[in-house]
Amino acid sequence: MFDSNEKSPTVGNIFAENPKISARNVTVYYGDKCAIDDVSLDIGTGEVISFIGPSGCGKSTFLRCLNRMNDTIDICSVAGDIRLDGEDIYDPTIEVVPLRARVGIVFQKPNPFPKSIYDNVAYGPRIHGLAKTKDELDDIVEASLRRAGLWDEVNTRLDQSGTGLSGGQQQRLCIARAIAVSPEVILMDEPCSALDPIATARIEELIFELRNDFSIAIVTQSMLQAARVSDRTAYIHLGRLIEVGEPSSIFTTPQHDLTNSYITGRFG
Amino acid sequence: MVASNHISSAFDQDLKEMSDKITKLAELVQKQITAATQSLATLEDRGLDKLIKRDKKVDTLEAEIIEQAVQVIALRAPRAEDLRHVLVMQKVATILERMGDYARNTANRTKVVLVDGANLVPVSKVENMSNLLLTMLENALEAYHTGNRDLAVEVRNADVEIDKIHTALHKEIIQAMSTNPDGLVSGVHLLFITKNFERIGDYIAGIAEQVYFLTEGEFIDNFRPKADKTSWNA
Repeated sequence: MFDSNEKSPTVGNIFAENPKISARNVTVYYGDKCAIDDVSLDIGTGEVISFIGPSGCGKSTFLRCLNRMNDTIDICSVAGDIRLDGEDIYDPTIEVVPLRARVGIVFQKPNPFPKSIYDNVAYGPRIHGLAKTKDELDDIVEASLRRAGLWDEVNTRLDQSGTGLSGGQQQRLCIARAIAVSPEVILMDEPCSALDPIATARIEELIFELRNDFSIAIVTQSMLQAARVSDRTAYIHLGRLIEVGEPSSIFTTPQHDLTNSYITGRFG
Repeated sequence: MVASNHISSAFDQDLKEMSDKITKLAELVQKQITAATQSLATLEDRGLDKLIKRDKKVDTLEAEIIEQAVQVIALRAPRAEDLRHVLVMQKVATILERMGDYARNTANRTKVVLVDGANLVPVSKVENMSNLLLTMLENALEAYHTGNRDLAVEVRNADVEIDKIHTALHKEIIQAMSTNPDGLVSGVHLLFITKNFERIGDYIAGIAEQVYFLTEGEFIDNFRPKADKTSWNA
């Protein structure tokens, strides 16, 4: 087993066969505090990859680098190279709004707009000009809500406020909103942490159904969830990517003793 | 090899309680095998009924360990070495219980042999076989407690000696039966008794294989050395 005292390279295969996103030597600072330390990792096309690690380890920070959400934080600086289909997303000529349409994000707390269910989903397609007619927009809204597993529950009340839905429904509405602009990657930052087990199961089922059409990167505090939904699991510790591998090996025979300590509940 | 240092001390406590019960069960089974052997070796009933009655304690302990394993899996969701440890303890408990059954069966048969005529008993060889088994069991338990993979492999390979002794004894008893028709009943029971000991050897090798899985995270190869030729003997 690898020694926790050494700054060892990432254990496991950081590469994906058909990468959608390639991150190389990514280092992130908040002011003078290093949050991500030289992380390299591919996210494959159609892959679900989960990030686990102690609170504050940098997993959400890394996730937010992938669609430049960290740009909104003044003291945050990102170094290294992150490419989406080979294109440098930190190139100064890249516009972040279209980038975030290609790389959508769903947050920990469901955050529907204070608008109707319909308008929540239609908002993205409208601003990106994805529908030429009202019928086309209706189709996008219906398809997105169906894919998010919400259509049957809300189709008779699309004009009602999205904020009136239950927590689980709101989260699926946010996923429908993300899907509506046809992203290639969906980032999920602890999407189930505020949900009950039934709502969580629905989201996990949704991830399972979406996996063939999108690349999904999910940050989760639930190791069981990481094991259930992902093709690969990455363990981050103090900003370093310690180990990455299939959940079946990460959760049974981890190779790094830091991973082992974390997943077996031995961190003090 | 009790896993410890979890943030949850109650988890440590659960695992320690299970491991302590494994130790207790193993000691009990050692006692059963020793007691069964003593009566055979001395050709005197040395508390065979007590041995048979004690088997219930073996069964109870096994059930407690399995129940506790279910609880730990349900409540603690153990992972990696912790999960293996719980699974191995549950499996070893079942193996020990089966070994206890063979000791009890040996006691039942020994009672018949002592009544029917004990002149066919190859005393020193049976005792030798039993002593080897007890040494193997002791080493298997040490390998389990210390997480000693090499010792586990050694124990697993030692089973081949038990097979050889069984093959030789099987032949010897059949030969004795063929020249002593009055001892046929005892002879048949002796064949079963030596087969019991041979199976106990297999089970101890099974414990050693569990220790290997515990320490290495993968199963040892399927090619356990074998030397039991009794199925082919005329």
